[in-house]
Amino acid sequence: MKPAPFKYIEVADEEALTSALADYGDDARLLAGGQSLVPMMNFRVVSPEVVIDLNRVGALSYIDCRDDVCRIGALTRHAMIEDSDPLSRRCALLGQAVRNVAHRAVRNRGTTGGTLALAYPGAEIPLALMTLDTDIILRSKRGERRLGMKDFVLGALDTSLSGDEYIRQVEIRMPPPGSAASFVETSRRHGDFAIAAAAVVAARDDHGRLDYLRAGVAGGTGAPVRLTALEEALSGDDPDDGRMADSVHEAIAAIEVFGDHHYPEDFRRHVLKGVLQRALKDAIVGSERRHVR
Amino acid sequence: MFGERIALDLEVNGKPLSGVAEPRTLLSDFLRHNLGFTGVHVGCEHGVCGACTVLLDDQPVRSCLMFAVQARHHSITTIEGLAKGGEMHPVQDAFRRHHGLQCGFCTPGMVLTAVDLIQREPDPSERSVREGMSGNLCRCTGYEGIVQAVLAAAKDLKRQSQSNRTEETQ
Amino acid sequence: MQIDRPFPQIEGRLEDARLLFGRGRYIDDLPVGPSTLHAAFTRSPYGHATIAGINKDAALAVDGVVAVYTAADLGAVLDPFPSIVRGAPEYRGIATGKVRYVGEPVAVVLARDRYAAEDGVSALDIAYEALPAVVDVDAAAAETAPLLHDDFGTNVVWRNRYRYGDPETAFREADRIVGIDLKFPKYNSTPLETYGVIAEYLPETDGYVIHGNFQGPFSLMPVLARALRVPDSRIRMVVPQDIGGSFGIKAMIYPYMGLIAACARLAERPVKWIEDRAEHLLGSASGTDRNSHIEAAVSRDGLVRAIRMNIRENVGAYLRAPEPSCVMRSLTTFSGPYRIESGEIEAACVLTNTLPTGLNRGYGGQQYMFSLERLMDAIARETGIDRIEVRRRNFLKAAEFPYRTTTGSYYDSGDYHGCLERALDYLRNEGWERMREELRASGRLVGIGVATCVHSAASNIGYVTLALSPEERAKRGYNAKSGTNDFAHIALDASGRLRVQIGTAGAGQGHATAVAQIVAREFGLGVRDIDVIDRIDTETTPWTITTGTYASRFSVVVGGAVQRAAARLADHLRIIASSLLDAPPDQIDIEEGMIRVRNSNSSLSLRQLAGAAQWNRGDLPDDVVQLHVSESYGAPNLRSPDSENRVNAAATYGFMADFAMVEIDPVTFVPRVLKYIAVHDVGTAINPQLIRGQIAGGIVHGLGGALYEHLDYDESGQMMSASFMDYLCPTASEAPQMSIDHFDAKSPFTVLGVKGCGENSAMSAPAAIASAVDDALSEFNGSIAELPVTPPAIWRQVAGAS
Ligand SMILES: Cc1cc2nc3c(=O)[nH]c(=O)nc-3n(C[C@H](O)[C@H](O)[C@H](O)COP(=O)(O)OP(=O)(O)OC[C@H]3O[C@@H](n4cnc5c(N)ncnc54)[C@H](O)[C@@H]3O)c2cc1C
Ligand code: FES
Ligand code: FES
Repeated sequence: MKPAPFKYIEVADEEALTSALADYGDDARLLAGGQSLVPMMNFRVVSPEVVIDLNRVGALSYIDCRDDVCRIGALTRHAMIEDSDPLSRRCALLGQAVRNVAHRAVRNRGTTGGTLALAYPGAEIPLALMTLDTDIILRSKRGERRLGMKDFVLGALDTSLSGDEYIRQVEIRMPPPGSAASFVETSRRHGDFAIAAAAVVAARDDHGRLDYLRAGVAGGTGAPVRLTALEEALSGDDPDDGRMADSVHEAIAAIEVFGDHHYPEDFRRHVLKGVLQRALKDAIVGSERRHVR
Repeated sequence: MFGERIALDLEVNGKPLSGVAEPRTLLSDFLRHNLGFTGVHVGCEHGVCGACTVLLDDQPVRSCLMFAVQARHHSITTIEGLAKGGEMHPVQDAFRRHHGLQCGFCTPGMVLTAVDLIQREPDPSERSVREGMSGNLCRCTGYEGIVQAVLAAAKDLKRQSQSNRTEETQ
Repeated sequence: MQIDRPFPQIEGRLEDARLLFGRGRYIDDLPVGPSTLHAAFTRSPYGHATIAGINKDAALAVDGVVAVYTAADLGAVLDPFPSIVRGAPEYRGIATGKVRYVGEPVAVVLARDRYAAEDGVSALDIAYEALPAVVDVDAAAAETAPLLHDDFGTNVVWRNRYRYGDPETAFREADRIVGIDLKFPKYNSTPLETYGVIAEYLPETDGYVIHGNFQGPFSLMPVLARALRVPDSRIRMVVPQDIGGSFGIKAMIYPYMGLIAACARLAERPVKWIEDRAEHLLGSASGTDRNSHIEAAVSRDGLVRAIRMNIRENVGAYLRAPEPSCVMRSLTTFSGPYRIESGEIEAACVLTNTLPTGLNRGYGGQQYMFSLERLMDAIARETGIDRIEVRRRNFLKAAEFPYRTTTGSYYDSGDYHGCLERALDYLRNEGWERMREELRASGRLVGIGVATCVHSAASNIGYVTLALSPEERAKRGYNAKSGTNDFAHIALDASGRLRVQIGTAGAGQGHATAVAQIVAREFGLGVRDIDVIDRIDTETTPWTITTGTYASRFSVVVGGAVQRAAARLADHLRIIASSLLDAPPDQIDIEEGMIRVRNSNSSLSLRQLAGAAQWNRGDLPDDVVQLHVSESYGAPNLRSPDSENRVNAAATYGFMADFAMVEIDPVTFVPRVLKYIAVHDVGTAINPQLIRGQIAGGIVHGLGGALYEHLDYDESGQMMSASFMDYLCPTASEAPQMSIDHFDAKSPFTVLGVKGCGENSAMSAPAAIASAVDDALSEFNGSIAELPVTPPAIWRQVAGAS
C-alpha cells in the first residue's frame, strides 16, 4: 500500500495555489489534511500526477465569528473546530458534529475544505453545514463564486467544484441565541462514518413558539439532505408525539435512500427515522428549557 | 518528474535531522527506514489502526497519512523520544504497571495518544478514556490494561503537577 | 527435590521496558543489506477466473523493478505444499491457470524498494476471463455449483463420519429432540502486525535462511521443506525477537515463506516481503465459516443423552495443511463440560471462491462452542428449564475426574459447578439482574447471556490424523502421530547468573516473564535475576515438530520443560556444593542466591559456586556434572487415535464460565456488550496478571466475531471488508467492562498443574454474547442462529416478530 509517484508542489499562499490549479487542474489533487486523499493514494484508488499541498497556506486556517456570521477557512482542522469556544457557544451543532468525526489524531489533520470537497455520504461536517444556512466560497483564477450548500454538494462524492477551483471559505449564518442543537448519529463503532445521522437546531420566539427549526439527515442519502418540509410542518406550537412521528415518516419517505451490501434501504430508512426523531426531541426540548430560563 | 528526490530537514525527538525522500515517501516509512525510528509501527497504512501515531508539533497524527516532505521544518516526537534520561514517562510506566501491553505493536501509538489525551483532559472518566483511545486498535489486551493504565497515568500526572506547583510556590 | 514455594511475582513484565521504549525488534525492523530486493504481489481482482495471459514487459520496464515471477517461474524451485488429505487439489500458494479467490497471488514483483515493486504490480498486464463464482458453503456443495478445481470433480474436498457410543438408541428413546441450524462466520483475529518474510538462498549448501514472524506449529516446517525440496534442517528458520500478535494466523504464513524463499533462489538475492493490511485481509488466512445442524436427544429432565451434528465447513479455495483440523475439536470434545455419552458427527469441507482458512485463536473451538451452547440454550427454551440449570444438570461432577469422554478425551480435573458458582457470585455482587430490569424498565433492550465450556490445552498432534479413516491409519507404511513436546535449556554462567533458553515464538504472552518466574521459584531468586532468551533460530534453538505458540501449550509444555531443567540444574548445583561444602546433597538448600547446608552456618553464594565450577573444574570430583542442562518434556497421556477414532486430544482440560450483558439500542438496533464476567479454571496460576491479559484479549476477539468482524463476500466473490474501514475491529469504546477471575482445579497430570489459557474466551465469547442477544430480544422471541449480530439482522428479527 504505497502511493504511485507524483509531482509535488507546495504552495505558500493563495496566489500560488490559484496558479498551480490553473496550470495542472484536472491532473492535480489538492492535499489538505490528507486523511482521505492519502489512504486513497496508498490503496492506489487514485494516483494523481500532481499533488498540490496547501498545508502552508496559513491564511486559509481560521475561525472568525462576528455578528451573525461565522467564517471558517478551508484549511481549518477539525480539531480547531472542536476546541473553538465561539463556535461551541454560537454554533453548537458543528461542535457536536465534529466530535463524531473519526478520532483526535485524524481531526488534528482533517480539514473543513477536505471533508466538503470529498462529500463522503455519512460525513458529519457536511451534514451540519447542510442543515445550517451555509455558503461555500470557491475560488479559481477565473474568480470567486459563492454557492449554497445545496448547490455545492450534488451527491455521494460529487460536488460542483471544477478542476481549477478550490474551496476557500465556509460561511455559516448562525442560529439565533437561545437555540438548541442536537446531532445524533448511529455507527457500529465509536468514530466511524455514520450509518445514519440527523442534525437539528431549534429556537423559540418570545412567546415560546418554535420559530426557527433546521433539520437534516445523512447516511445512505447520497448528499446530506435538508428537510425543509418537515421544518415547516413542525414549526409553531410544539408538536406532540403523533405529529412528530407523522412528519418524520413523511420526510424520510420523501427522500431518496440507497441501500448497500451491509445496510439495505429499508433498514436505513428505519434508522434515519429513529435518529431524526431523537434529534428533533432533543433540540426541541433543549430550546424550551432555554426559553424558560 | 518521477523519481524526483527532495532534501528535507526536520526535528525528531529534539534533534535536528535531515534526509532525502521521494515526494511519495510516507512519513512512517521515512521515520522507520531512513531515520531508524522503528518504534513507529505500521499496521494498516490507511489511518485506522493508530500504530503509526507520532506527535507533530506536539499533536498526535497518523504518520502513514503524511508524506515525509510535509514534515519539513516541523518537530516530531516518536516513542523513542518520550522517556527523558532513561526514565520512563509516567504514561509508559503506567502501561508497565497495569499490563497495558502484550505484543507491544500498538504500544507506541497508544502511549503517545494517551499523553495527548491526558494533556487535554487531565481528569478523564473511564468513558472518555475509552473514547479518547478508540482511534488506536489493540488486538492483544482487550483494552482492559490500557484503560486502567491511562486512568492511572492521569492520576499520577495530576499528582506530579500538583506537587510541582507546591514546590514552586514554596 | 520438590520445591514448594509460591511463584515469585513482579510488577509488569521483563519484556515491557524494551517494548515501551520503542526498542522492540519485529520482522520489519531487522536490518537488511543493500542487495535485498523487495517483493509485492499481484493479486487476483476476480473471485473466479481463467488467467488468459500475463505480459511482463511493462512491469519489467518500470524503474527499479528487477524481476517478475509467476507460478510457472516459481514452479522450477517450488513444489506444491503437501496436504493432510491425500489427493486434495494441489496448493502452490500462487495461482496456476485459474484464480480462485480475490486476493490470490498471481505474480510477484521484485524491486529495489516496496514502492517500486508496487509500481511494477500496477504496470503488470494480466488478462482474465471471468468465471461464475460461489462463496456460500451449501451452494458450493450442490452438484450444479461451479467447480473450483475442475479435475477434482466436486467442491466437497473432504468428508467423514464419526460415531461414538450409541446415538441411535439415545435418539430412539429420547423424550424430546431439540435441533437448530446455525451459521458461524468467517473472521480472524487479525494481529496488528502483518506477515513479514526475509529469505535468502544459500547455493553452497542448497539451503535457505528464512526470517519470518512464524508462530509455529513447527509441524509446518516439513511441509515447507518438502515444497522447497530440501531436508528440514536445510531451512534455517529465524523468528524475530518480537511478533506483533499472532493468534493462529501467523502459522499460515508458511506458503508465503515458500514463495519468498523461491523468489530469493531465482533472483539470487535476498528478498524481503512485508504484507500490507489489504493483503492481510484478502490473502492471509481466516477462521472457517460453517453451516451446521445440531440436535440433541434430551430426557424429560433436560439431560442430553446424545448429539447429532452435520457440519459443512467452508475452507476457502484450497484445502491446505493443517485443514481439515478445524473440524476436529467438534469431535474430540463435542460433549464439552457435559456428560453426553453418544454422538454422531458428519463433517464435510467444501471449497468456495474465498480466502483459504487456517488457525484462528482457539482453532475450531469457537465454532463448536457456539453450536453446543446455542443448543443448550435451545434445550432450555424448549423444556422450560432455566438456562443455567440445564447446564448444571448436564455438567460432569468434580468427583468424576479424571474422566474419559466417549471420544477418548481424558479430562484431567475440574469443578464445573464450583467455577460456575464463582462466576454467579460476580453476577450477583455486581447486580446484573437488577441492572437488566432497571434498563428494561427505561425502555432499553438488555440481556444476559451465558456460556460454559471446556478449553483444552496442549493439543495432541495426533488429533490431526482423525482426518484419515481408521483404515488409512492402519495401512502399512502409515506413520502414526501423537504427543506434544518441547525443550528448555538452562545454564549458570561464571558470574552466578542463570540464563534460560526456550523456543516458543511468542507474541506478547509474556513467556520470558513466566519462564523467569518458574526458574526463580526453583532457586529462591527474584524474577529479574533470571535472563531468558525466547527467540527461535533453528540453527541454535532446540525445537521439535510440535514447537510453537499455539493451542495454549506454552505453560503446559514449555513450562514443564523449564521446570524440569531448573530442577535438574538445582540438583547438579547441590552435588557440586556438596563437594565444596562437604555435606550430602539432600541437606543443601538453594534460596536467595545462596547455597546453604541445612541447620548449619556453612554456605556459599551462587556466584562462588559458579566460579568454582567454571574456573576450578579440575579440583572437583569427576562425578560432578555440568552447569548447563537441557530438558525435554512431552505432555502426558497423548497417544495416536485408535481404530474407533478415539483420541485424547489434549494434555489438559480447563473450564470456563462466561457471562455477557448486551444492550441493544431499541431504535437503531446497534448492539453493545456492556459487561463481561469470565471465571476460568486455568489450573495453577503462574502469573495472574498474564492470565487476566490473555482472557481479556480473548474476550474482545470473541466479541469481534460475535458483533463486528466479518470477512464477507458478495455473490461475485468480491470481499466486502478488505480494509480496516470495513473490517470492524472493536476499539476500547466497544470493549466491555470485565470481571475476570481464575479458578484453580490443578491438573494432576501436567508438571506445574497448569492448564493453559491462551485461547479461552476467544472461543466462548461468541456463544455467551449470542445468548445475551437472545435474552435482550426475548420479548420478540429472538434467537440468534447466525453471527455477526448486525443491526440489520436484529432489525429483521424484531420486524419479523411485530
Ligand atoms: C480512520 C479515519 C476515520 C475517519 N472517519 C471519519 C468520520 O467518521 N466522519 C468523517 O466525516 N470523516 C472521517 N474521516 C475523514 C476525515 O474527516 C477527512 O479528514 C476528511 O474527509 C477529508 O479532509 P482532509 O482535509 O483530510 O482532505 P484530504 O484528504 O486532503 O482531501 C480530500 C479531498 O478533498 C480535496 N480537497 C481538500 N481540500 C480542498 C479544498 N480546500 N478545495 C478543494 N478541494 C479540496 C482533495 O483534493 C481530495 O480530493 C476519517 C478518516 C480516517 C483516516
Ligand atoms: S499504520 Fe497509520 S494508522 Fe495504521
Ligand atoms: S499489545 Fe499487541 S496489539 Fe496491543
